[in-house]
Amino acid sequence: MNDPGLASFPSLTRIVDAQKQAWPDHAKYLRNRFAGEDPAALDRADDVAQLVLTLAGDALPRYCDDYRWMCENFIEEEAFFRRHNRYRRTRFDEVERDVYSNQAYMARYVNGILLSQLLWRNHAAALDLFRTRFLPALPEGYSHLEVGPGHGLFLAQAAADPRCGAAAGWDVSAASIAATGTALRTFGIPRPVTLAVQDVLSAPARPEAFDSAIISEVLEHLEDPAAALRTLFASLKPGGRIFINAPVNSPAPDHIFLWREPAEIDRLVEEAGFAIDDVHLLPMTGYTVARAMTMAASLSCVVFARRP
Amino acid sequence: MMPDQLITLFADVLHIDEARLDEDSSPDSIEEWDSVAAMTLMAAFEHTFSIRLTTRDFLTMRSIASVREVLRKKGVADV
Repeated sequence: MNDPGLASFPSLTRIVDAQKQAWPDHAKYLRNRFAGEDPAALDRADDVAQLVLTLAGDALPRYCDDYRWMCENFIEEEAFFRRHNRYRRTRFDEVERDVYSNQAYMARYVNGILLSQLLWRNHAAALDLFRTRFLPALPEGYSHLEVGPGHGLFLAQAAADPRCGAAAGWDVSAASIAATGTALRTFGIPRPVTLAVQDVLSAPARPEAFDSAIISEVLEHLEDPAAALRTLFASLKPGGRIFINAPVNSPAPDHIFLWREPAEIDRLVEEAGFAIDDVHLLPMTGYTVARAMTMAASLSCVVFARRP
Repeated sequence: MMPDQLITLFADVLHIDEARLDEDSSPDSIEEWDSVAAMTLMAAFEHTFSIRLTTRDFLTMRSIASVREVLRKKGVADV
């Protein structure tokens, strides 16, 4: 059952095997996901897999069931998107009613997203870019903010970085930020991280406080993503850097803001006042950027930008 | 020989050459026929033939031949 290409990566192998057991029909997708992947990237993914195993513990089969359930939900959203050429929900209150307020749903959803950080090529590549390209370019002793840290994998990378001076996380949901805190403790992150219930759509309490910020897979959940970027602009020190990750053509139960072209995201970032340093387009598993655009398939857009 | 309407539609939606497709073509043999493409195909069939398919039904269609059979059962003539 083991994928020979993954044999040297024990944590990744364990998760992939558990996932194949929970969802045999996903085996072809999983082969595609890891085919041709750079061994160094797989080695880093194995570190992430170790964190995921720490969090999942004996409940790994349940996490794998939740990932399958989440993917099946996403297929329903994909069907809606293809039929109607839009996301199903367009307002925050619709998502609040149908998704966020449903605790059982959210528990499964968060577990599924956690595994997607390994099993979806675009999600894994974004985390890898953050770790290998974004964080090393920050100044020694940097103060860091994450908006919507969720499962905590991104925040854990920053908080575990010896060059990081201080790390903070904001979320509009008390339950979500509490879950992030639990995850960071379970991961064994030694550095205290300041976690706060804070709406990114409100003006920051501490302007110009941070050297770096990340907002990953959050903007598409908002009715007014431009307002969130303005808050982050105000929160960064001049010269501060930001990692923005938002998808185009990516239907999900809680995605409400639809971008169809990466250039739309670039414009949004620039209109918030940022100067773009780099753009990385990360197609979903099995796609090139060109084919993702042709098929209007999900494409993660990672923008490295700075406050001038 | 007249081009087959269903094969042509598959090729158009998947953005691949018709020559790669036959009745036995399936998600296993055609790499581009993944879950996203399946939903795009479903929407294309619904639009082209004015029918309604369920997502679950469509995901169980494992070949072009089985798609053809379902479309005929839905009353699509000459497919």
